[in-house]
Amino acid sequence: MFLLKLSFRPWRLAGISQVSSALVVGLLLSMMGVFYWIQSGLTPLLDQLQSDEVILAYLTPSSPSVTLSDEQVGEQEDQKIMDSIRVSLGSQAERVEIRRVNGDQFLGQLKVAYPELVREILDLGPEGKAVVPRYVSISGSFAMGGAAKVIDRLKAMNGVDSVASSHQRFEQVVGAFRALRTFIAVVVIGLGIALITGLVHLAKTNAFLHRESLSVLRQWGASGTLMRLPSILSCFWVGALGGGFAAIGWLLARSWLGLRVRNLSPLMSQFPHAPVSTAAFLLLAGMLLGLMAGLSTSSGAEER
Amino acid sequence: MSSASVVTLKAVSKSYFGQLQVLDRLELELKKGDFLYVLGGTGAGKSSFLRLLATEELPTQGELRLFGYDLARCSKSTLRSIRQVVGFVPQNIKLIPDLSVLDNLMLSVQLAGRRASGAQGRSRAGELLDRLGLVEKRERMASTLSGGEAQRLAVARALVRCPELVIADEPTGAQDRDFTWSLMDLFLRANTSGATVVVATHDREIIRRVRKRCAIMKNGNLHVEEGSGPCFF
Ligand SMILES: Nc1ncnc2c1ncn2[C@@H]1O[C@H](COP(=O)(O)OP(=O)(O)OP(=O)(O)O)[C@@H](O)[C@H]1O
Ligand SMILES: [Mg+2]
Repeated sequence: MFLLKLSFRPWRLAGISQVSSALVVGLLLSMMGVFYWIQSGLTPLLDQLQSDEVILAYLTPSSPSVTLSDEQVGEQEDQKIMDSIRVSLGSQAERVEIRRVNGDQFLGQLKVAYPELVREILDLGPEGKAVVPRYVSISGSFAMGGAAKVIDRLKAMNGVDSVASSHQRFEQVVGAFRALRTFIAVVVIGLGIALITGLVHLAKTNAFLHRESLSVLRQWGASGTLMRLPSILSCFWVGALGGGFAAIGWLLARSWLGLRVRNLSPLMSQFPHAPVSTAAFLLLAGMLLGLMAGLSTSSGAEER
Repeated sequence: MSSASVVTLKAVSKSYFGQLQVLDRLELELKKGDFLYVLGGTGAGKSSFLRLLATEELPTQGELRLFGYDLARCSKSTLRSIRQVVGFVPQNIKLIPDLSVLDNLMLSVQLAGRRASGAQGRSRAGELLDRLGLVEKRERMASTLSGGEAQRLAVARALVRCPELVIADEPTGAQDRDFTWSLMDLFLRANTSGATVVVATHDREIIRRVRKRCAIMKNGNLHVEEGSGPCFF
């Protein structure tokens, strides 16, 4: 009880600096919280971008001399290509969906949006058949870097005219996200170090303010642990208050933050909500950091 | 803590910064229930000597034993239990400014452990505050006391824990006559109930009226006058 009263000495003597320290702790903690949230939200987004890839292998157009009745022959050739694609996929073939889209199916899809266009193509007769693309779509989750290899193999394959993939489309986005993630990790570590250094420094200053009382406690036969308590407690209050600030800030800004991030780009629209539980985590982190910083200062009054 | 010899000094020297020799090979023995005045001019080394007795500092040389334990060699926990039975009134009073007058007393009681705990300690504290004119100020912060009040509280804080060794460094320096005798009366009571008491003072009248053994500090040496008659000063 007495020690509790003693622990408030820095608050009485230097209240403003305690509160401002707590504010800084709160600010740094909230920043770490936000960064952590973004970091953990990016991970599934990245995975999704990387795994839900679609590769389209456009097959060499059939020559105009091939008549509609030769459909059987074309069908067989395409089937061969499908088989060799399946072989080239190796073990990944189980995790992806391979679908052949022939000219008729393509036209069927096109008809929904552009019925006039389709009618004109059909009016061209066998000639029209040549301009309608046939392709094989391979979609699903590829192993890391697997998609790029598949694309290379497809390009070298006979009967494949060209290859398009979402991989190429998202490659730069994925790269940018990866860089961002690394950057965030570095910033979070930096913030953490700044936070701990600041708190330890504050703990040292607070211990200095307790010096006089500690020499009295020592004179009256207090144990080393007992003498460290006022310093530890007063540092704990700063950490706890900082954690409290961070938690309140988090609760207030949570939904706004989520909205902002999700509105950044359509890509981010699936970004996870900023969870309420982070507030509790921030409060706890503040208390723990304060306690650790307090423990880090040996009061100097322990010697004989 | 039971040993007939409460304080034993053998060739105890103290110097500061390795050169300023303040105490030079002191010899002294105090038994349970002894009362000793320490006299001497200003700067003679009285406070330095009392700080050694109070375990606040260690001798640079020689052997200092309290209750039979060599302070330079005993364990931390032994040192703690020695401190728990010592009541020290330092010259620079050193109250805990953040605690109330009463809390300063109760903290002293609490840290003394079993000896003066609980309701008994509380009633002792009340009695001491009453005798020293501090009852009305019991809830005040210690930092708001006057010099004389702070000094009386320092004495009360040392005595409230029923110490076996009382060390008081000019405890009446800031008091008027009435409180001087109140304080001396408290020291004598403690002494009567078995405590060993060492008081440093400049006050000739105290020595004249409360006759006890005297030791004079001079040139780093302690000249102990035997008997309890009036001493030279
Ligand atoms: N911590 C210290 N560091 C250096 N010198 C000290 C220290 N404490 C005391 N001294 C010196 O030791 C000498 C004795 O000081 P001390 O305080 O023991 O004298 P004193 O007899 O109590 O004097 P007074 O009657 O004025 O209180 C003085 O010269 C003082 O300057
Ligand atoms: Mg002195």
